[in-house]
Amino acid sequence: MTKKLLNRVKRGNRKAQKEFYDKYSVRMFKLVFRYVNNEADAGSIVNYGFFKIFSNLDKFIYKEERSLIVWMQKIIINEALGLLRQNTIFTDISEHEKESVISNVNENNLDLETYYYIIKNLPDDYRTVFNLHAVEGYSHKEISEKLDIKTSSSRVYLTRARKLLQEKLNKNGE
Amino acid sequence: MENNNIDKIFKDKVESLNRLPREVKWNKKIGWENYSKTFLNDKHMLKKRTVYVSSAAAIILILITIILFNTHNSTQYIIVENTTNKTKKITLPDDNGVWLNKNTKITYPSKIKGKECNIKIEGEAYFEINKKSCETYIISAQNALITVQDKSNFNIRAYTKEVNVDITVKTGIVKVGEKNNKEGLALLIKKDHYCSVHKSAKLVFSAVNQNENYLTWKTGKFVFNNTPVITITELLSEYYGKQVIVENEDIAYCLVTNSFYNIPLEEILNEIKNQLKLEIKNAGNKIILSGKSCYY
Repeated sequence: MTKKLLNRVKRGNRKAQKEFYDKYSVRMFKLVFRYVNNEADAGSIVNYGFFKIFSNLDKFIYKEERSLIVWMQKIIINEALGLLRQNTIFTDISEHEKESVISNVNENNLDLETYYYIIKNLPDDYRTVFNLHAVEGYSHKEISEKLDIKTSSSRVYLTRARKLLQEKLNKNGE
Repeated sequence: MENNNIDKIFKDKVESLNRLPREVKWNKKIGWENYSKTFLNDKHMLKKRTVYVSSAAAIILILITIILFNTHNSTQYIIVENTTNKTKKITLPDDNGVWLNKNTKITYPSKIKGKECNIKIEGEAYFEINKKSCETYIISAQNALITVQDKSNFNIRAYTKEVNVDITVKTGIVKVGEKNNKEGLALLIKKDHYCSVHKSAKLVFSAVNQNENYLTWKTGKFVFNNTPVITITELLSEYYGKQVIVENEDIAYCLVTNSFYNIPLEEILNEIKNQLKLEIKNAGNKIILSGKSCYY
């Protein structure tokens, strides 16, 4: 199904593009909105991203839907990081913080949306690193290249993000 | 409780949220309407980018034309066209250097001085403005207008066949705008950033440059950093003027990390072949890569 749709999109068929957009845009918006603060930015990043996806689709060879989604997410995340880097200064942190062991995480049954917003409410730099590493699975080396910071700084941001998340989680669970 | 447990909790929860958060007003209908308004106002915009591959031996020739315009100040313009299949360096009248890729044409004034100097580019060129003899250099490349007021080194890729004009700044700073939209936003493009100007959508877009191979045409250096085979074959086809294609999709997204500097095509392909256990076939003027998937 997806493969047929993809071939129509590749040929520049508008109906197919719309169908494709309908199928994946919500997923992409949800992803972007985890990185940027406001809806307007998220909406335009998604659209820039889709434009790039459509323009570069002829370079993508379909194998399975999962790899298509991963490929699209990478494009969209790069768009989001482009904007974030214009507005946020990612600085290096020199202090040494050990990856402290976090205990007592209350995994209560909070609303799924609450988890989403807990991430969203982290400071820009913490949130970006946490999203990239913990959710999207980027390595510290990749993050350091994308944000132009040291790998050690990426680790510090992650540790701090985890601490904050844990606090929030415990607080929300009470 | 391990550290990455907290990662896992959030990852799982976020991934299982299969709708948009309630307060979000955006939806796919609104999104698509905006998309159509911004990007779908020209039916030719999604034409495939074709990589130019010269078939027969290219004519080795550089054309130089001097045109005398009968304007008030009668500025003389010089046109240099690189029709060879090698890159060429020319020197502007003010001693600044410009590298021209294959199939590139540059038009510049015979005297570079004063307030404004207009230069025109068709194709791909790398400017080394290391000395300022003119207050403002204005370079037009398709529908992009690049204004240079500081010493800067930058690359402009503006082939008629491609949908975007790409400007990548190596040092210094340039200003990029869209020609038909003078009131529109002109962006300052800093060192290590690139800017894309879309031809029909009149969009100017800038981000950090992540393409390590934008100057390969000039330097002969390829840097592959987890680069998919499909991207590599495109880069190689363009640089060596010989079509390199991927036969089966399984290998298209195999990743290669390596770098090559002024190395013949066959050696690069051999190295990749050994690394990924591929097969190489020569079929006339094409080189075909095939093999088994490298995933899982």
